[in-house]
Order: sequence, then C-alpha cells, then structure tokens
Amino acid sequence: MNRLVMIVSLVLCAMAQAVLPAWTALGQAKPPLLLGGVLYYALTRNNSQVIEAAVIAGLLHDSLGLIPLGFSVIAFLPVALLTNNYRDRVFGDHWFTHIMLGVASAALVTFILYLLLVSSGLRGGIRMPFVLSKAVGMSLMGIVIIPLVFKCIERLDYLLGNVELKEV
Amino acid sequence: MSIGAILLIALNLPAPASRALKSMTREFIAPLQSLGASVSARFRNAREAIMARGGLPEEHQALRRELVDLQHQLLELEELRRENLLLRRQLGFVARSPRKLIPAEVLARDISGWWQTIRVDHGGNPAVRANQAVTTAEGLAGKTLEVSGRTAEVLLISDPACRVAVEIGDKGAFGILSGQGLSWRGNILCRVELINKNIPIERSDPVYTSGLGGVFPKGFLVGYIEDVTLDENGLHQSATVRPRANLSDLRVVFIVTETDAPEELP
Repeated sequence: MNRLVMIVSLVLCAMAQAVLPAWTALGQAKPPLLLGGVLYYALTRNNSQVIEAAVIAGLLHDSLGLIPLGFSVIAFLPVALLTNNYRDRVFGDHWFTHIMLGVASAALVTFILYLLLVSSGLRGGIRMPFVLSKAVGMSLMGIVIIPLVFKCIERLDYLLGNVELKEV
Repeated sequence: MSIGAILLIALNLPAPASRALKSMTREFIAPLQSLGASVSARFRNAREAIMARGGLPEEHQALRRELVDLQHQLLELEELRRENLLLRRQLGFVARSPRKLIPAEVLARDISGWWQTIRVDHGGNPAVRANQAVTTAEGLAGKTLEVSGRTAEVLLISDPACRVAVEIGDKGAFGILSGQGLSWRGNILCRVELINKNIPIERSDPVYTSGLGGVFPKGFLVGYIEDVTLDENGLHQSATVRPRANLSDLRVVFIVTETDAPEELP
C-alpha cells in the first residue's frame, strides 16, 4: 500500500508539473512538484524507500520530457539521500524546514541537471544567466510548492492509513 | 546496489529501448493527462464565455461575415488549385502528394523547462511519425520529435534546437530560422540567419517555410520580420522574427502528414 501511494503521488506530481506553466521571466522554471514528492519521502521514510522515490521520480521526470533516461535520477538521488541523512537533526514536520529544503534542493537539482545536459552535449548553447535565473525561479517556486506538496501527500497518507497525522 | 544497477542500465540503454520505455510511460499517463486537459479546457472556456458575455452578439455577427468571406476565398482557391494542377500536368511535373492535417490536442508542456516542447494527443493516428511539421491556424508551431502510440513530443520553433529553412516574402531571400527561447517578458522570438545581404528586407515582411530542409513543407507562414541587422563579418544579414502562432498558449495543433495517393483533380 505504502509503495502504491508513493507511485500514485509521484505520478500525480509529474502530471501537474507537466501541465502547470513555466515561469518565463525566470529561466522557464517549472514548479518543482516532483522534487517536493521526493523530499517528502526523504523526510518521512527510511533509506531504501527514499531511494525508491528518487528513482521513480527521476524516471518519470525523464520519461515525460526530452532529458535522457536516468539523468534526473542522478539529480534527485543526492538531494534525497542528504535530506534523509539529516532528517533527525531538523524539524521534519515544520513548514520552515520544508521551505528551506525546497529552496536549497531546487537550486541544487537545477545545477546538477545543467551539468549533465551540458556534459552530454544536449544543451550546449545554454548561457549561465539563464541557468542562474532558472535556479532562482525554481527556488522561489519551491518556497510555495514544496510545503503544499508535503501537506497533500501527508493528507493522502493519512487518509489511506499509512501514517498518523501529527498534531502541531 | 540494485538501485545502482537500475541507474546504470537506464543510463546505458540503447536509444530504441530508452524510447520504448519513455513511450510506455507516456502512454500510461496519457489518458490521465487527456482528462486533465479536457477539464482545464472546460474551465477556461467557461471563464472566457463569462468574460466575453457582453460582446457575444457582435462577435457572432463578425464571425458570420468572416465565414462568408472565407467561403468566397475558398471557391477562388479551389479554382486556382485546379488550374495549377492542370498546368503542372501539361508541363510534366511530378505529382505532389496532398497534405493532410491531423488535429492534436495539447496535453502538456516540457516537464523540466529545459526545452521548448509540448506533448500532444494525436489519437493513435498511424500516419504520425517523427520529423513532421506541426502547425496552427495562425502559423507554424514546430515539428514532431518522439512519437508513441497516442502521443507525440513536439519541438517548438522557439527552441534553439529547432531549425527551419525559410523564405522571406516573395523576395527570393532564403535563410535558416532558429528559436531564441523566451525573453524575460515572455516574448517569443526567432532569428533568421544567412540571408543574402543584397536583398532588401523590411520590417513586417512575412516569413514562410521554403521547403528546402525536407521536414517542413513549402509555404507555411512562420511569422513576420521584426528587425534586420548585418552580420559582424558583413557577409550576410540576420533578422529577428516574431512567430505568428501564439506558442505560449497552444491548445490544438495540426500535424502535417502526406498521403501516398497523388493529388487529383476535384
């Protein structure tokens, strides 16, 4: 059940991310919904489930676009594992943690993907100001989107009996 | 360990296998996306209907007038087509395959924002293949890239990777058009390079596909010239083009396919 909910949530995140418009003024940044899903599992589950979430999200991200299969997994995995590693040292259920995580990881994922795309020769013509503005755009959207994704998946998990809702 | 293996396999998959895997995922998600797209279209239409409620009778009248005009134009064009076909036959030209436009609903945009693409639902039409031109009622939109059973990825002309052989007006000026992405204001611009410097190009000149590249058939309107500059080396001209199609708000596009049957007289 847990795994099914994870797959369904990540598929829904991927669909919404594909449909939502990009922020043209900031490097065509898209709302980082899939990343939000990965971070949710990184903060609330054990290591193996975190890796599963990062791999599923990465493969979905690549399948629904032109990025070669596996690139997004490389971008999502370090972010997910780092978050999971430090989850005992942060307030995992506090909105401020979600916001800070969203800002940092959205920028990190953007830079990792940029490096991968440039090194593979797929997006050689991209200029650094574009990448910087994309990272800023992703981070700004992460502030709003990632706490929202956390709330939605948490509610879904609660409704299906996977977790008990914490009283804040 | 197993995750590492999955990652290694995914990264080293041969191109056809990778395409098949991607295609499978897209096919799996396509019905859900189609549902989402139709719900959002209903909301958008309802909102537009409410916003334009006051001007509906006037709009109706204007559309009726436009319909009559277009019907007249169609009759004239049909006559010209017949005449053109007869003359081509008399001159012994090779018969052209008639084009067919397959309508496709836009399901989504590029998920990552690194490319300027859209995903369209072509309803499983077997005539849709990679590298076919995609147009709108207003002008050229792009070309198909990866085609799966029901959906196709379309690379828009605003993407720097999309190159189109174009002709400017009827001046005999040819060039290569490529996308420049979006400006921070959201304006979409393209650039035509390698234009003969001796041909005078002016603002608002129409830009059409020249049919020389092999992907885009001749005669599709791409957009209009915004400004013209001489290259740094002074050998060619370059021009900025504003695409005619509204690429940031595409809802339905048409995939241009060619039928095998030769064109016949009506």
